[in-house]
Amino acid sequence: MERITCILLITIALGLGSCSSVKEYEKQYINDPEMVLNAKSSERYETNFQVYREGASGANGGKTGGGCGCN
Amino acid sequence: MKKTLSIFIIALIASLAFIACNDESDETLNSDPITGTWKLIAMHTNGQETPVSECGLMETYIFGEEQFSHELFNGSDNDEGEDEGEDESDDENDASENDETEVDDTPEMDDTPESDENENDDESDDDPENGSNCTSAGATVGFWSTQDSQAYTLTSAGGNTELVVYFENGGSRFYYDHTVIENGQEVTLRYYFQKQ
Amino acid sequence: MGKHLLLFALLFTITAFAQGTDTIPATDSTEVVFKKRVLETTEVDILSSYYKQQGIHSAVGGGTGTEELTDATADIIIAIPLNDDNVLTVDAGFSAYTSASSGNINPFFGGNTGASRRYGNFRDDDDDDDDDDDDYGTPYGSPWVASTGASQKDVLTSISGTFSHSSDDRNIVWTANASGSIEYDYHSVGFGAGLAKLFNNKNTEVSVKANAYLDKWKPIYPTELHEYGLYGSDFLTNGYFNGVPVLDQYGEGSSSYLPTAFRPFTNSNRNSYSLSFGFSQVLTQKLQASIFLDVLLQEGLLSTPYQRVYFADRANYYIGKPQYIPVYTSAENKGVYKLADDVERLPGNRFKVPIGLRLNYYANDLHVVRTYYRYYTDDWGLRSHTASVELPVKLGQRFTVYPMYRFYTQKASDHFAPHDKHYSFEKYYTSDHDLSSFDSHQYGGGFSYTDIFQSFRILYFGLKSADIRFSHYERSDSLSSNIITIALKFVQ
Repeated sequence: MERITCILLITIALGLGSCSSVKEYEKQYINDPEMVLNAKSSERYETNFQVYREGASGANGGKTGGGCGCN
Repeated sequence: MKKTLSIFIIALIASLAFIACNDESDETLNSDPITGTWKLIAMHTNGQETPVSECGLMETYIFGEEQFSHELFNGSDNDEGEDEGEDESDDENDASENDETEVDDTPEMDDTPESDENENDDESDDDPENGSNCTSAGATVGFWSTQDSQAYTLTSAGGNTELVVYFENGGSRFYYDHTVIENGQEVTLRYYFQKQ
Repeated sequence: MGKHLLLFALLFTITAFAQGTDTIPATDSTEVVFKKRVLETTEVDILSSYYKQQGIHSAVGGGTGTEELTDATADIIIAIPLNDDNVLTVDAGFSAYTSASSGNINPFFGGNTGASRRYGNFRDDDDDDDDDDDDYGTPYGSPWVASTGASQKDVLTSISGTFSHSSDDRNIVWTANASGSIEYDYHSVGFGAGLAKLFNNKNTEVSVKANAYLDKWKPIYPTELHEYGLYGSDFLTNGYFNGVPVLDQYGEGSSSYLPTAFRPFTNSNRNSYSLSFGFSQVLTQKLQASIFLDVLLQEGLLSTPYQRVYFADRANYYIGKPQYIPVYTSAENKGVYKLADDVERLPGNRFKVPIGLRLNYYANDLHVVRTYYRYYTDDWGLRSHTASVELPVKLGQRFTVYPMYRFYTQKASDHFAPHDKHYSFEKYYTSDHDLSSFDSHQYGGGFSYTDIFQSFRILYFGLKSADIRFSHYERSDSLSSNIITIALKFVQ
């Protein structure tokens, strides 16, 4: 299982490394509000209860853990 | 484009591949038909229906996955009959006989066996304001076991008791017989319990 | 896993810098160029939510009991442009919760002895006592009935501030933040800093962030253990339990209950240190992705002081109505509470590593696909996978609906066992089902309205967007919840 994880991550990293550059004037789709690479502000409370009710936290570009009496 | 699409597909498939579904972690309840809460609804003496007092009809068996409890109730003018641990059947006999001699003119209380308020009665059995004068004579608590879902062994602090039950009405009711000697004659008492 | 992590971080760094060397932005020179303000005007976000939960594995009850909980929250986030390059963001909010589970830290009703005093009334709210005591009989309680003690409800208040500075070419952003929160039994102070660099015509972003939280518990213990901690082996004839009958497994009176495993926690601090790496890449005109890697170390009091644990190799003792002993672990139990053997004990440190991946694809003018995956592992043995997908559908220029689905699967922590399954010889133990093995499904959706012209105005602020979101969450161990969130964004 860990080997598969490793292979996948390598594939993604290498794949990302070979991407071409998109010019600013070509970013009309990338700049769409729905394309933002962060969780929406309206998701924060869902993230909060997930942090309390699940053992995992972090890796979503926001809070990683701590600051609460949760796991 | 093809490369980016392939990365996308790999990521999605990988996420599915990592999914390890957990089984439902809740324990399933013991499937034995005796499991549940049962209240006395009727009593027969040698095949004839015998009136049971309001307090007598509060007699309750609760069977959990491993343990059971048996609670009897007395009227306000009967403070005896509290032998809890010695002999299970004697407890029932004493309580039932006492109940038979009481005049059934106690204050109105909904003692219909199928009533939903019976569960609330459990909560307020020590509450003198529930409209009745019944008080708990105490509960016998112990462990039960069975080999065939008919003959049950009840083990409490007072020892073991065998209880042979017969289920009726699709398992929503059971009865058991208890034989006593009265005036030199054998009397069979049959107690019917309804599942709550 | 550590070697894989290092390998990934290495590849990550090489990839990032490989991108960076392809093009050198012209704005790195000393030439003066026009720069757009990072934030044009003050923006105010108002968020609010209502959350309602039910379950059957209360951690306060040692893995059994009601988990009913409601939570109402509200936050206001104000982003203020200090000048062209700097933005100050202040976030203040509260969360008011009512929990049947935490109310059972002291689960006992009734009684006419000293035991009728409700320990845990730490807000000096004696009115609750007078209203709730039955004034006859012995105390009783049930993990399925919410005690009305003061611990049943609490309010968490929080505030945080973030300062960000962008370079003239907007390719470098550094941030600094500080935060604080307080609730009755827990308070937190946090601070951190971050650095983000964009290059390759802003197609690539690499970020690193460090945070620390210095938290502190005010330990509150279950009543029976608190009394044992106060009076020692004589606790059954003193204080709260004076005159209160304790029952054994057969419903008989007993004086043998002695939770010798319990000792109060000597260290009530809880500190968390995290390092977060982020890498975002525009892949094509319609596809972009990001990878997040966090490393988090926690140390201190990581147990929750009021979560009970029961040992399978110790006899069970109860307070209350013995007839409910057979059905203790079901909602039919209306009047008996099992006395704890100890509270949960967890290691004094925890090392967490989550790795997340976001992939967003602009399918066409109507549809966008937002996906997320996370793998999580820690040194408590917990492993999890998270996968979610959201499909925004645009209904015209202003309206968007977005259904969503999230799947989560978790393998239990090494220290978890269900109710009454731990053994007294174990060093670490918890019956908190949040650390158990389970799957969860969350589905729902939202509706958003965007008006870039801000037709609707309040005072000097116009409504730029409104978002309403609902989701239903179900766990395979019978916990379920619903949450509704409203988010409003106003700009000056």
